[in-house]
Amino acid sequence: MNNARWPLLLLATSGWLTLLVATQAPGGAPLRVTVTVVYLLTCPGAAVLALFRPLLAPRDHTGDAMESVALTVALSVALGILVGEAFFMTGTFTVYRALTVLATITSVAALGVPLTAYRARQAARPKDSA
Amino acid sequence: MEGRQAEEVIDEAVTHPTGRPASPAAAPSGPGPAGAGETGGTAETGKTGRTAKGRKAKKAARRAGKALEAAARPGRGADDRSRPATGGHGAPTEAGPAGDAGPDAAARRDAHGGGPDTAPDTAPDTEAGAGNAAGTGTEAGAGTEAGAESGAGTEDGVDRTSAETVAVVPFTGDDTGDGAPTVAWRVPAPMVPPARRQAPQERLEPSAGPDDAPSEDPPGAAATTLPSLGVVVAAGPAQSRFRLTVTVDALRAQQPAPEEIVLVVDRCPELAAWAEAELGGTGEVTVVHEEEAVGAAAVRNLGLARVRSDVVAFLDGDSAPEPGWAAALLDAYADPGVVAVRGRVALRWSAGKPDWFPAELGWVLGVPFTGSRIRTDPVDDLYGGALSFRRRALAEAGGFPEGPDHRPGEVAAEPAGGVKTELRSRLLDLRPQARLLHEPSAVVRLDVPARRSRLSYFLSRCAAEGRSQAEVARRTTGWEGLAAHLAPIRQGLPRAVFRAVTFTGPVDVKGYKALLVMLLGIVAANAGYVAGRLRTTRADGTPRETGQWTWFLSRTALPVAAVLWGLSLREVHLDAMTDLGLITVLPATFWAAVAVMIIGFVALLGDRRALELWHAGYTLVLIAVLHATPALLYPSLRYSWAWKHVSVIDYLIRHGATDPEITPLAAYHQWPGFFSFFAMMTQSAGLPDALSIAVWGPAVFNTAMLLPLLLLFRTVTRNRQLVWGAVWVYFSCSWVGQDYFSPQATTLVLYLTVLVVVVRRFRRGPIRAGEDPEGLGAEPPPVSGTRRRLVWALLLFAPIAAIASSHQLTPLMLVAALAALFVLRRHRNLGILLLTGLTVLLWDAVAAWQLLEARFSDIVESLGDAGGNLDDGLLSLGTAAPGQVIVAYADRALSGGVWLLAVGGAVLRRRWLRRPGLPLLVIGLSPLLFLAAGSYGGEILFRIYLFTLPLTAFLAAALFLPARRAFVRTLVLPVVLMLMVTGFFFGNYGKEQANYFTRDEVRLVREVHRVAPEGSLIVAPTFFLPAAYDYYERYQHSWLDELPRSREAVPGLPDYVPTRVELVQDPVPALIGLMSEVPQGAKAYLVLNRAQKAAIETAGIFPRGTVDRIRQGVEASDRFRVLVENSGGAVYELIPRKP
Repeated sequence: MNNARWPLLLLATSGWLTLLVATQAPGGAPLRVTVTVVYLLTCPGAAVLALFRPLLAPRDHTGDAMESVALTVALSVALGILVGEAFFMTGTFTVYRALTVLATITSVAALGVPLTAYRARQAARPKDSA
Repeated sequence: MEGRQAEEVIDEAVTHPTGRPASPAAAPSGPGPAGAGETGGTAETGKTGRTAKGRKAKKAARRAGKALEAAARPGRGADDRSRPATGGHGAPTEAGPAGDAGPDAAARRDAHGGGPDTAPDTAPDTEAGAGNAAGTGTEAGAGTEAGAESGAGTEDGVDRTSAETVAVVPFTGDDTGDGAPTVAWRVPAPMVPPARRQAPQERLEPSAGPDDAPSEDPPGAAATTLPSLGVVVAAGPAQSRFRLTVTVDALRAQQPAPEEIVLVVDRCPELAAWAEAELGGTGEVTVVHEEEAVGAAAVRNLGLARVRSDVVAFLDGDSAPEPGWAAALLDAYADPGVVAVRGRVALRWSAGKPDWFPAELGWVLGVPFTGSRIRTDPVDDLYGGALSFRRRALAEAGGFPEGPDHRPGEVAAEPAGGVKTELRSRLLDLRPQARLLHEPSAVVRLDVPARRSRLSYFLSRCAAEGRSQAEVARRTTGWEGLAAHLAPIRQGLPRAVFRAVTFTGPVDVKGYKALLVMLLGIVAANAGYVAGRLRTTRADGTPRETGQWTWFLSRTALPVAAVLWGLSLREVHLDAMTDLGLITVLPATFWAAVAVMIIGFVALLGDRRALELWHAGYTLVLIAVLHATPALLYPSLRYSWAWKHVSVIDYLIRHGATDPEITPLAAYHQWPGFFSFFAMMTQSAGLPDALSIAVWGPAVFNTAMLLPLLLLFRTVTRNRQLVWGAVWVYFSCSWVGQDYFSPQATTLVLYLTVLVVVVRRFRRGPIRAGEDPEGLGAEPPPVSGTRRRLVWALLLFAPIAAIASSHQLTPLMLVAALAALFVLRRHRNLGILLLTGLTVLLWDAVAAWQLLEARFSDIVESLGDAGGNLDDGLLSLGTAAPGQVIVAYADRALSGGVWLLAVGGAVLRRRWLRRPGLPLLVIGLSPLLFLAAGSYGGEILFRIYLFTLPLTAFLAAALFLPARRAFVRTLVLPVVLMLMVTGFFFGNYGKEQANYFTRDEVRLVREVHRVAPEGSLIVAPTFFLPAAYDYYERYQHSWLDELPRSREAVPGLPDYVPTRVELVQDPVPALIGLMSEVPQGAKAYLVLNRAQKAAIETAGIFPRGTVDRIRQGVEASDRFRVLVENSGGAVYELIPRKP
């Protein structure tokens, strides 16, 4: 399997990069629109899915890659919805706060992947030796 | 006798290929098939617990049995057996989906029963005994086999004429199980020369299982006696006859010479005839001719079925063994644990070595890339030419797996790398202790003819290798196989760069060319791999050969349609639109684009080789044509509801909070998920408003539906035509227009994604395979344990909570669908159902309770009002414009047509629907529960249509696809699809006169918002005006079409509020009355924009001419003054009466 860690690191920083772009680039600039839209639609979900992935079944069934893509988008939108409405319903919404929370979720999830992978290996070990 | 014994052993080993000791305890008491199913269900396939597609397997078995019968018939001699296509090849490819080892026992049973009449009664006994260890069952086995071979009637072991047993071997290693092909093997008894007869048999027996292999093996015998060797030589149409002669001569010259040489000629009768005459004359070479295009692996399997020696080696017609090859090879087999030995391949370039060919690329031609060059070496891969196997081990593994092979005729060569990767894992699954050896002293000289030394051949071979690795059943194994292939190239890259830069290296290799070719090879192999991974559905029912026209149409129609569509948009004049909607202004080129696209797509369905990216491309262009057309054509956002949603988002952005008050738009603030998300997106992107996002809503939401839809369809079928046809029908028939920028569109995508994951990942128990005569079913998803399901449920909580907090109806639909899935035992998951139900309940009871409480009486009233609901949804046709009547009928025709086709499809595929199709069926039917549940503002019928559409679209497509008859595909299907798209344009864009807004209309309303003081009243005939709800918290709105019909209907109606009847009779006084009641300092505005006329008159809400009468009356009245007027209409301000 591909054990490269750099995609996870990239994912972990993606939220903070987006926050940087969203606060520094002028409103409506193509770069800002692209970065924020892509981030909101993919990154949080990708990180959370990566976090859960080691605990799930191996991706050996047909269509698993498609499922991952669909889930990535669905989870990103769902997390965006939940974070967004939490702020709006409490009347505390600012872009800065919302993006910070999402970036934190993304980072924590992406950086937590080795942990869940370790857990999964631990869980699998007794079965192997048995 | 020994021959028979050996055959029994082999037969046993083949029927119980696990290599585990087949103890009687493991076998249930049932008759043969079930017992064998238990003991023989190998590796992955056994796990999924399919209980066999019994009938189909039996059919295959029966066929196989007939083959045996034919073979065993007394009159047939040895020569007849040289054409065993029915048993050896015909059955293997199409024997049907095996599930487990059930079929093989059935085959044996039928084989016994199907044999000549002698001793038929003993068959069941033998079956019962068959579960026992092979060695002990010889008595009974011999008795039965005597029946099978009575034609020969020999007792002295000269059983070469008839002692063949047909065994149906399931292909294992595919954890997906149900769809795995079965191969019926004609396993001949070994034809052992008298001198060797004893020893090999003794060795063969103990190695039936890996556990008991070496102990009973007399070491002396193994050391002194070599196994017998058979060689299968494969030759294709491009085979040089001279080379073939060289190969055969070299084989004959070996010491010891091979016992048998089987020459399999692939699709070249001339070569077969020539070989029969020139080479087969002496009797040492058996020539077999394969007439169909089957691929390299199948060709070798055909040869394998003819060989009866202990060891079988595979060569192709261009490779000749060096002296000493056979001896070195057979020496390696002295160890009984060795199941495969790979020789060394030396290349000989008959057309000269190209100067771009570095040594690292040798694997492409079949040169192994692992293993020592000096000594015998255990290896972990089987890649390379010059392979040999212990025949029984190979037969147990089912021969060369044909799934991951090159496509027939694609690359004339060795079986692809994926075949060997798959074969290796099958061999090791069956015998975990088995050893694979690399024997460098067994050298095969591979002649590389001119056709194989071209760059084009090399690149296509690289791509084919990558593709074949993608088709290996275990994904990770395939990926590792590819990585192993590319490793030598990757490792050689630095050196190649150095040589290219410094012009060093071997003289016969141009450094820069070699480097370039290595890079190209990596790209081609990876591209092939990706392409293979994308090809995940089955092309059953698609013609084997693709006609030139089919190919041409399917490849050119897409770009042509896209260009035509783009050009046609320039000719659209929206002003000319009539009451039939958008369809009246679309030029002929637009329809030409649609027609071309449909024809191309239908042609594509008939092309078995097309990459599924093409299907996806067509579908995306269809989505673009259907949903991006307005985004490109209209000067501003389409549809006043979408404008309203943009206004709500604007409110959230301005306030940073939802509105807790119970206002007319309160529902949006009680379920604020969608609005929050897009408010966040708008602000993060720094856009002034959500308009530029909302414009692309329909196209994006439909595109986002594609993946979940594909996945849902693929859980119930793997038929490529059906999956993509259903997707196409779904998008063509999704006319209800709920895909605009809205919460329901967002939640629909999430809803389908959640359901797909539940179907795929929450499978609990076994699935009864049921009947599937057309072979449509998909291999079921793997069973998940409780812990995994728990993790999945945790993961799914986010989308479920998002759905529950974003929309009112969709969460209920989700609960209904999960409850419907609960009915199926395999998907019975209380946890996810409870999780969803509680989340929805919690949200409705806590967050949204305020609103629900306020509207409670309305909701209760509409409950169970199914009849009212039915009426609610349909347009009242009283005074509607003729165009709108046509539009309404077109909607109904499309909806009814889809349902009719779906019923037809359901009847036609009823057997598929009973088992494999069940998840889709229950998911698709669950929304029907809501027919009785509430009117949902008169929309429930449309919503139900939308939520059932995945099912109905699938079944409608299933009526035509997979199309066996050509005329259905070429004549009926395009017409049906064209009608669907036409119906879509009527249904979705039939009210476009009112749904599109010009820039001037937007300016009108914006001007009102600019000048109107807080608390002002904005009046318009309907709410079909852009930006109607901008700054809505500051203003009151009154839409004239929402006025009560009569005073009796609404008791206590204030006097100043006119009824609709009063308004139509005398508009101006009624308006003045309505608009006078504004708070101090506020004003009242009447907006008469362009869209109002279409919105209110064509739909028949007010009589024709009402808007004009209002306008004339207002302009004539001295109580109104024009605030702003432009081509988009006018805004009138009520002049307050002077006190």
